[in-house]
Amino acid sequence: MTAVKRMAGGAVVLGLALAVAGTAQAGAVLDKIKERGEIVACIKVDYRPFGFRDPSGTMIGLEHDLVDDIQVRLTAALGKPIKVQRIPVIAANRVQFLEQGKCDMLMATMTDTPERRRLIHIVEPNYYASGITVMAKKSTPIKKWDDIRGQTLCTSQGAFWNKEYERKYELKLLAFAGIAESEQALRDGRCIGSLTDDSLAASRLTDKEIWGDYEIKLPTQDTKPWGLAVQHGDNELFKIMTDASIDWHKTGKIVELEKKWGIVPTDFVKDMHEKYKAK
Amino acid sequence: MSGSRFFSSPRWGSTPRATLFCRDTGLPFVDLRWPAGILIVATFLLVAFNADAQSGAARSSVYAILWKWTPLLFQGFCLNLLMSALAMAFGTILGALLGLAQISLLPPVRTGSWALTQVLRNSPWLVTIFYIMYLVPFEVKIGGTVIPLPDWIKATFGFTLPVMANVSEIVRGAIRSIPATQWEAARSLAFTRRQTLWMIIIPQCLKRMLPPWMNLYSILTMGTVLANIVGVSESLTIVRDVLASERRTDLLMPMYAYILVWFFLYIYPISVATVRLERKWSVKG
Repeated sequence: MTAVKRMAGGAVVLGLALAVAGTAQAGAVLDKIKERGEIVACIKVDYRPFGFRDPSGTMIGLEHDLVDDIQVRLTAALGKPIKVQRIPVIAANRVQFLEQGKCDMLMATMTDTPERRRLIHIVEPNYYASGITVMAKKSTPIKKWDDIRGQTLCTSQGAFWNKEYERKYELKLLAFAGIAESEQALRDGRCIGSLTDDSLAASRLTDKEIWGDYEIKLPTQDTKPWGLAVQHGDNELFKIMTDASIDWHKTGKIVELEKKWGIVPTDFVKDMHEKYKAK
Repeated sequence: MSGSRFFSSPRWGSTPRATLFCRDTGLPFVDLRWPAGILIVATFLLVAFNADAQSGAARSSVYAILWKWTPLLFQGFCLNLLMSALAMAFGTILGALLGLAQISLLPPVRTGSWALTQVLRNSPWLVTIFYIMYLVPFEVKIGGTVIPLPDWIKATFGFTLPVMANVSEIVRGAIRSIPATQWEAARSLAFTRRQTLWMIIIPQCLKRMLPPWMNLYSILTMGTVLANIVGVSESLTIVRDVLASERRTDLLMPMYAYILVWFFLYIYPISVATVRLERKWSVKG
């Protein structure tokens, strides 16, 4: 991201600067949504089961269901039918798209970090969380986290743990553009294991025919919450999102959605449901 | 097995005119002969067959999956074609003007257009696209109306720039390839510079420019998959989405091979036509 920004900065110096569309003011985004009758959501389509496509091209998944719920809430709050326009994003452009106002909300399997909080307004409570684990062949001798020290592992580009884990465990990381590529590399024996999201690994292993010889090797660690975000500055929209997130945990909507999309239930979602149900 | 049996090198010897074009335009020369086509299609079938044999009885076959996703992939492929057509159209118009500016008699115009051509022609396409993606806003306000600029339009604009620069060089090179004696002869017949250009030089250039222009189009069409890196939902992006949706690693090779075959089937005839035209219009003697 920074390289891209530096590049863009250089171009401005070159005199290629162009007018950039306006930024948000208080309630401005919500006004815009009302006026257009449409909310633009930046969302993933390459991360099943959270966001993916069906053969007709329709975008579906756990996060898409939550965006549908936001749509219902906005329709009620604004007193007119609100449609959803979904813009598929990738890790490299999602924060920027929200920052510049190309989309009104962002829900794209994004880990909540302090750096991101400075750029965009991340909603609390967090709607989901995932941790890191290692998936490998059953015969691979990995028993504890220290066993991976100095080994070659596969991962996907843009995963937040890559840099930190490379240093922490002196790993040789092979980072691939997509999850399919990373998994193929694991199967081809280019790495001894795959450094991956725990919920993703668990749901992947349910496919016994392909992954029968593989298992999750290590206990999950570094569980980090995922953030749903809006632009800084529109507190009305932020409030609607916050209320939605509280409601999802209170009603157990995300527990249900995990079941619907065949995700192995996560402790985070279970705990949050318990916590908010009591309130 | 030497590679040259399948991928022939540009035939400098047989068509001297082709030599001139390539040297003038500096474009890589796409000239695949038919064995290359068979090789590529055979590779695809082999890959798909292999993957198919490995998928168990309980799973749907690789062919069935490819078929199931074909309409969506085709939508993505159409976007590649649309982007290439628009970028080519605008790039040609702008490039022709830039090329003419390169032979201008006014030194600032000549130098400026030369510099612009060189910068855009010699920088990686992807870098140009990144610049455009991050510099051009996602919507523009003209008067009271807001005109959205979707990503694919921005990417098309990004492709237009290198096309413009390459066309500029094609135009300049073709004009330069006309013997100077024709300019001198025209001047002695009292043609003005403009008349000479429009009535004598450019008509001869058109034929010479067409083959490298088509060659450029082939390269551009292949290049449009670069838009996947900036998140445009073109065919390669769709391939990745499909791979993510199917969650089957055995689809990896067949999927990429499938889309490769599509591009090949579209571009190969163009490249054959280019070679034919070149041979037909080559200046004899």
